[in-house]
Amino acid sequence: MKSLVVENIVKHYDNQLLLDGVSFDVFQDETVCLLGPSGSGKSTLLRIIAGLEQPESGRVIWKGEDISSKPPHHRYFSFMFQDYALFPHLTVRENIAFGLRMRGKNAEEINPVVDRSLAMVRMQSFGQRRVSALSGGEQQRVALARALAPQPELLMLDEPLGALDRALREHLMSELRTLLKEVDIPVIYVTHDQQEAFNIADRILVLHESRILQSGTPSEVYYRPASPWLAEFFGFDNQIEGRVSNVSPLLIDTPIGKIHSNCTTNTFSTNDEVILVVKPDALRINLEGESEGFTGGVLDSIFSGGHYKMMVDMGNAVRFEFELDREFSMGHKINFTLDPNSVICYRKSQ
Amino acid sequence: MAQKSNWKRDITLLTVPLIFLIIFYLLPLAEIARVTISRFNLDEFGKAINWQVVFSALSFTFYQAILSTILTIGIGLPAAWLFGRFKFRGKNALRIASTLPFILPTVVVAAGFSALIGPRGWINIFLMQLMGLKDPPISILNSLSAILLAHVFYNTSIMIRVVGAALSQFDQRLEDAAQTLGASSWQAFLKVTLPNLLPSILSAVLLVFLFDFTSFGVVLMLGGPQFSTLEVEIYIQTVQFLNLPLAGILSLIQLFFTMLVTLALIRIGDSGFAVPIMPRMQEENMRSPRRVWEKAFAIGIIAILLLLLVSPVAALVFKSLLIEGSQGQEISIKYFLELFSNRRQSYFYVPPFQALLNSLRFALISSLVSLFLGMLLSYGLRVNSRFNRWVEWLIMFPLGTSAVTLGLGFFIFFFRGTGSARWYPWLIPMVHSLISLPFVLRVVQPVLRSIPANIHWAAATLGASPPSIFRRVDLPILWRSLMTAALYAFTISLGEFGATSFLSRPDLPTMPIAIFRYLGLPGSINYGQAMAMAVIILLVCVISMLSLDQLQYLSFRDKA
Repeated sequence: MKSLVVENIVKHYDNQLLLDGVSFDVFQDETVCLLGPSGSGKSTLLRIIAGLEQPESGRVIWKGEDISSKPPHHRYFSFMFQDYALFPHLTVRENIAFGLRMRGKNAEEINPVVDRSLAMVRMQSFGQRRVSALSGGEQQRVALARALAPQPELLMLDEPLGALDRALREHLMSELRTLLKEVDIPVIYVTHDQQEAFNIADRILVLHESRILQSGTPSEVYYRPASPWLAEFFGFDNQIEGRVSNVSPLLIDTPIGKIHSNCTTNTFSTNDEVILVVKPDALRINLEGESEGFTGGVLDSIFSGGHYKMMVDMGNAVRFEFELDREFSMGHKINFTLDPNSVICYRKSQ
Repeated sequence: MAQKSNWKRDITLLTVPLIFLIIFYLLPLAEIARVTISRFNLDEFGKAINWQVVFSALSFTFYQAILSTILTIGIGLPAAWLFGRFKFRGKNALRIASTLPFILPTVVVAAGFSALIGPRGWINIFLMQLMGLKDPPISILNSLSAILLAHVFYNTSIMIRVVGAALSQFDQRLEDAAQTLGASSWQAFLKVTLPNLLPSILSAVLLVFLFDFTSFGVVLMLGGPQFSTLEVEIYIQTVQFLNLPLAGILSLIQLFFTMLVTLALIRIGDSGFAVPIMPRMQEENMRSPRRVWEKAFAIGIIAILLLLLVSPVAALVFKSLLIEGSQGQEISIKYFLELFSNRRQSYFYVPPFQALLNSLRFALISSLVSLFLGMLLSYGLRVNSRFNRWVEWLIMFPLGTSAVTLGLGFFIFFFRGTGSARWYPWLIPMVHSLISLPFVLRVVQPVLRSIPANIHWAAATLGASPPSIFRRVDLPILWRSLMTAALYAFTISLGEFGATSFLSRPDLPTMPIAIFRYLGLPGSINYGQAMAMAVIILLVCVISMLSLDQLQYLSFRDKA
């Protein structure tokens, strides 16, 4: 069942279009990640859903009811802010109790909930501390407990791990994932970090240039990026332009030679101008005696844990990076083919 | 701050400033106490102390200070809200204008209000012409209203500065967070914003009260003879009656209360939770007034501020330029030219121009002295040790000591030491340096402390000797704060009136003293000359204020 429907949201910021008719749904029990580079309007979208900002047009619908003009404190949504926005004049306990107090609960009702929330984030012994005495990771946990304590109907998290260092982030990511699975409410999670999105999300929405470019499960979004920009966003930097020379099998003329693709996302006709994305796992070293395919010089080969990253000179000033399970020394000439399943083809206008 | 402790070097650096403080601060204060207490048991003392005078001065001081503070809060808090929350056209200009009272000497303010509401002021001239009266209809001058008005003029800028800055640095996401947790916008303000602003509101109020409590020039010049605060009474008892025991008692009472407030201020500064998380973008918190009531609020406050801040200054400038010509009013620089002549041809009445030169000379000396001492202190106090914290405290104390008390201390101590008042004027730059020193230290020290030690180590390993590290590394980093500090010191010295009034000699007056003297003399030429001199100080203040703003602006831009 659709819980939240966001319809055609338009918003400008400093006379620049920030959100250009953005629409999406969130289902009950679903964790949706809004993924996009900074400045793509993710946070603003979240603030609009929370009621902290008004869109110029468009609607926010919650369980069938248009709540676009409801003030934030009547929406029963919780928001976990980047940098956490903990109240510095209150203790950890008082921070977590704040939402319950605002909902008119009395002390007998509040105390057990606060205890449970503290236990949930494993901060039982921190209740009386001032928030300024907490480390970043501890603040993050208190912020999460504060957001969840009033038992909101929807949880929004704005870059909840953004302020933490890498090691702590990876540790807290799995913790967060478990916690979010436990609460059976819809969650909207904003991040610019793909790894985070892949770990946390049931569904990813990629936001760029005021629009949602792609929506799908993490693996769909990663393996079938919908445009060259998305491919590059996910780290597929091997891109080259070309022209279709044969439709079936799909062959493309490029400055470095003919490349074969098994791409099925589009139908192409001869002479279409296209952009090819060659994934890093595409390289197949030729066996002794095979001579078809490409020849290239190894520019660099770096061990990066489990595989080697290899820079290959493809000729014509084109360099591709591949991942390989063996090492070649610098300057070595290699003969290889490209796996057509790992070559994605896009129309150039895309 | 990973500076290695080198206490021998630090003590050497601190010696000169500490000696300065002992001679020019602690000993004069001790001398006030000694003179007062040593006569306590003698008959002479009982006759000298008129307790009626003490109590009436004390109660009036409290009365006017509390009243002024309440009025200042009434205008200052809404103004701080306007500056901390809203964007509007001309905001920066108004912000700069609102810092002007901060450095404007009391004599200039007194001259400004005299030009506006005095018997010869614009409002009275206008009303007299309108209604065909012979006598000025409004006599606010020499009344409590004039004192209160001038105090509000002065201290509104403190509220704007302290509370407005706290508000603009306050992370508005805290309010957002409260709202998503179920608080209405009013509850969010009451439960989150207000508690977080409270320390800065409280310290602003205390600061305003302290300034109102120790106000001297304003009360002396605008209040008239029937209004005597502790400060004015100390001055009158010393200069007119030479009743030093009474002046001493008043001074000690005054010192007791100002120290109390100063200690409270320090406590608030220590206990206050730092205002959380700076907004990431400049002016992220700000927005234009949108709703009708917001616009009405903004326009109303801006109008009040303009009226309050601009009208006395404008009145002053016009008064100095408009003279009574043959065909009515005309614009002329006659009053300014008059400053160069000595009409009385008397030995004691040097031309006002001479006063300007004296003032500039004293200001130059005192800014050099305070800058030198401030540098020594900043370097000597780089390590955060217990002893150093004590020294820092000690330096801040002149800030909580009224200028009149300092003046009295100098007056008594150095007369006893030398038996002569002849060289008093040369103490003027010293007392000015003493007053400027806390400001200098507050400006320079944080910048010096922010220079990481490893920069020095890096310079040393690259072959720089200690002197060249100072010249090539520290000075370029410090110069902006040094300029700022020097400007502060210069401006403070140029306008200082309270302490100077005890030490100046008729033949060696400073400009503020000359203005005070000319304001009290009859005749439009004298009055016009007072206005002209006040305009000159005003000009210097405006220039230094604009430079200060520029310096801050530049350093801000570098950080961004």
